[in-house]
Amino acid sequence: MEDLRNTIASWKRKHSSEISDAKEIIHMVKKSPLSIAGLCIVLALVFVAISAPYIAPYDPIAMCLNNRLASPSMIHLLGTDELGRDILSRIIYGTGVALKIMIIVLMIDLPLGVLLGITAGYFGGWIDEIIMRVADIFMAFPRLILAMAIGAALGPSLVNTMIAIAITMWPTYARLARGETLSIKERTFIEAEKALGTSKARVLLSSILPLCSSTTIVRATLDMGNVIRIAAGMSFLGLGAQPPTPEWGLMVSTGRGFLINQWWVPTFPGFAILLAVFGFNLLGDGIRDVSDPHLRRGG
Amino acid sequence: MTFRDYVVKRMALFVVVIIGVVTVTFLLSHVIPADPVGAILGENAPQELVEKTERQLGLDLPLHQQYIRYMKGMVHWDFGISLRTQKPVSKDLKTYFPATLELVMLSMLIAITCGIGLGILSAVKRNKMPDNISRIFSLIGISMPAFWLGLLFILILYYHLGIIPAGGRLSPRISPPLTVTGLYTVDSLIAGEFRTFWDALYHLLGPALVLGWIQTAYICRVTRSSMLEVFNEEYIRTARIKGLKEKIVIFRHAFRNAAIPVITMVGISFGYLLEGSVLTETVFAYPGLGRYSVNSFLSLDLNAVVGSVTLIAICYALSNLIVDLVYGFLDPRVKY
Amino acid sequence: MPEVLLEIKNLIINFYTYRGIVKAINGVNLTIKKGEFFGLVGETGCGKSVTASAILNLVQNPGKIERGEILFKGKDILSMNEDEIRDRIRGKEITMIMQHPVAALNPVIKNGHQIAEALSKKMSEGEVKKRVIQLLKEVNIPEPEKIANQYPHQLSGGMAQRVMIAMMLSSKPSLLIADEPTTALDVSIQAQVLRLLKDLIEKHKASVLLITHDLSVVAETCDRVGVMYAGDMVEVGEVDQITNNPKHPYTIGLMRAIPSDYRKELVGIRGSVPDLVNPPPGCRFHPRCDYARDICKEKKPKTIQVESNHTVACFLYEGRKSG
Repeated sequence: MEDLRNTIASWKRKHSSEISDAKEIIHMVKKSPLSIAGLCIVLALVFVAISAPYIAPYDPIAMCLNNRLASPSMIHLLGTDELGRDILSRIIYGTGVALKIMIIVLMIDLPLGVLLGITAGYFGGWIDEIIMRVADIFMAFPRLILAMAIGAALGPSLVNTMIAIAITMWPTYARLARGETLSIKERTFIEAEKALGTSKARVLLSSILPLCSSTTIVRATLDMGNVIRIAAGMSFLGLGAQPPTPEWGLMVSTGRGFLINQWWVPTFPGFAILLAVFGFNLLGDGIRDVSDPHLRRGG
Repeated sequence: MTFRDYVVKRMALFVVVIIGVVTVTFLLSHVIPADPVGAILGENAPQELVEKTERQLGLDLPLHQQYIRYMKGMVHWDFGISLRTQKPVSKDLKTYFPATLELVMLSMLIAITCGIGLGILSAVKRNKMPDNISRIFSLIGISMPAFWLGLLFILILYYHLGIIPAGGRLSPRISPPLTVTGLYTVDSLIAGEFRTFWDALYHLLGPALVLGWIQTAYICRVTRSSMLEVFNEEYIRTARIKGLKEKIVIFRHAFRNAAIPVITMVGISFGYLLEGSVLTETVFAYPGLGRYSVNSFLSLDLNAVVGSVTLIAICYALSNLIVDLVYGFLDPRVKY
Repeated sequence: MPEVLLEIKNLIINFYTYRGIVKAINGVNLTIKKGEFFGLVGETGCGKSVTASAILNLVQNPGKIERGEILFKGKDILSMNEDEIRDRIRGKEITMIMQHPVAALNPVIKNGHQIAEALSKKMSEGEVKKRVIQLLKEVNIPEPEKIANQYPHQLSGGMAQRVMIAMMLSSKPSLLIADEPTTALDVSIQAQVLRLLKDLIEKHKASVLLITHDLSVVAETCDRVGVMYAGDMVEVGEVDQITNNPKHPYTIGLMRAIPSDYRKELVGIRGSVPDLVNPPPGCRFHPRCDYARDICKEKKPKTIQVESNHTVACFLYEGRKSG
């Protein structure tokens, strides 16, 4: 027990400046109503996703063909779709699908982009040129178009959509990480480490990486909503999730034909997309506001 | 670096990017897809038909020869025949591209005027009512799935209120004007056919409002934050110390500096509009490049896929190039 | 006795930040006479620049002027409406030059146009052009036509400051505020710019409020000096009085900290600048003061006159006439 306490205490000492930075950020987040609202929405989404099996009134893929296209009522709060499935339950399960997509995409992208960016920034020369030109080429496509092309090439499926979106997003993070690395590279403590003979890999990982991470994370929070939106767009077009997965974009797509007479079928899932993306954007904005020193001034 | 150097460097980058774009599109369409012939002909097609189609698509040649054949076609703007429409892809592109261009330009017009106006208003009245409303509105705008907003517009504005038409570029009984630019609005004005002009505009309304709303949100945000940053600069203080009228401070001093990131955003917006047109045209049954490309993807019509993706990417790269050049021209720090 | 041009009475300014309320200006009094070169000294953060901003009613968010009067030629600026201040005071009667001249100029507008903005609207285009060139010549800028056609980022610090001076003297103001005008410039340029300022001021018969933390600059150029500490005006007097006969312990400490021929060691003032969210009670200097007594910790000292034209806010001099 004593050992554990000592370990914690020495870890706290070692990272004291990061801890006080974090404290200050938390303090400012508390003061920003934007961030709080965004955080609430996001936490609500996470809660819904995790507890879906317990809070969803019906099985999301259970069809009930005598009760197709029922309008919203006490039995089915948001109505049923064209196969008689309860829309509310499908939306609830869809939350998990959306969050899963977002997490997997970011988990592929952030390490990939940051690593490539740091490599480009640190080594410079032709490594830098090549990585940056490739990034430029990928950034020359509008995101959805490229995702569609990759998705179509790989075949329509949710997994391929995630891969496709990840491929469209890494250049942004690579650029960011490279920029940070370039400015950090010149700082004296890196020179000191080199003089001490620390291997290049260690310098990259232990010193440069942590300093890049804050800008990267801020940028990632701004992108989280976009991932969900693009994935929904892909599914809407038929390139992403396939039936019977309860993915919001797919639900809007299959419900599209019923827009006029059974408006609830495509409308509610679409609203879920809006709400989720809105929540993440709110949170991302809030975090960006507090971490940008410029905007901290002046009330 | 002088302006001339900047231009040269930027153009060189453009060329490199275009070659890269074309190559990537080739890889995506010829290297990766599992079985494009099977997708077109189905599982049980007779062998000779399969082989004939393969030859037609050039899939029997070794990869580098395919690439050369592809590049050669590229230069002549020849993408082959679309398997879906049975017409040369370049002809299809010529038919559908102006429709999208028209839509994108109208949406951009809406976005720039409303976005910049709202952004400046927001910055000037920071943290007061107009600012708070505009911030929420913009946040909703950038979170909005374009396809869903389109559906809502169709439900409410078409079905319930009858403000926008059902789809297409023109009403059934009106024929398109003589083609000068391919843009129905412009061409009908040139020909003096005002009824056609209003009808074309009427059909553009739905999708343009959807795309316009979303892009207004992006441009408004960038304008606002850029203006706020500029307001903190010393030279704004100097302008106030000189006793200049607030309108002059805002427009001549602040906005001229704030405009620079806004112009960059306009370039990025163009890309978002191209993306958005894909979704919006599908929803509104608007016969443009976006809808054409979606249909090509879904039917694995390789030639059409290559053609449309390449055209879209080149447009986007071109708009970025123009934005960069304009930016270099406006900011004297780059010039001198 | 030259008349009083500017009188600041009991100015209190607070800044509402996320850390709390910063009590930046704690009841400052200041008088500047016509034709006078007044130096305002103090450490960074003591409130000199905020006081200057207040004179033009340009205190920025989150700062707020809570109380006080700023009488310029008899009229209280703080109770004028914005239009009046903008039309009559700013850029006309009272102008200001600042520490970073290149940053203070708009990067996308040519230098000549920026100077022209400060001129009267009634002049014709040709007259404006002539006047701009004439102004640039007055501040000893070589090749004025070329400079007028250039952009601020092409100017050196010293040149940019001259452009600013030309701009700010063009309306023949009664008061020029110079907020650390030479701090960011090379030492060799500093002397040039100061001399230029002094010459022009004498020519225009204007008053100057020179804000600086550099005592040597003050000693060379000013007629009277005010010393500020942590938002309080602790001592005001003629330049000889302040340099040779400083009364407030802080001023004494400042004078002692200047290295000279017959004092080899650098003597600092112990302690550090207080946190103005929770300033020390009573006299704000007492934690660092060698002469502090109990009363200094409880009450704020009143301003007392110690000789003619020389006042100090310190309990050490209680018992003499109040100022």
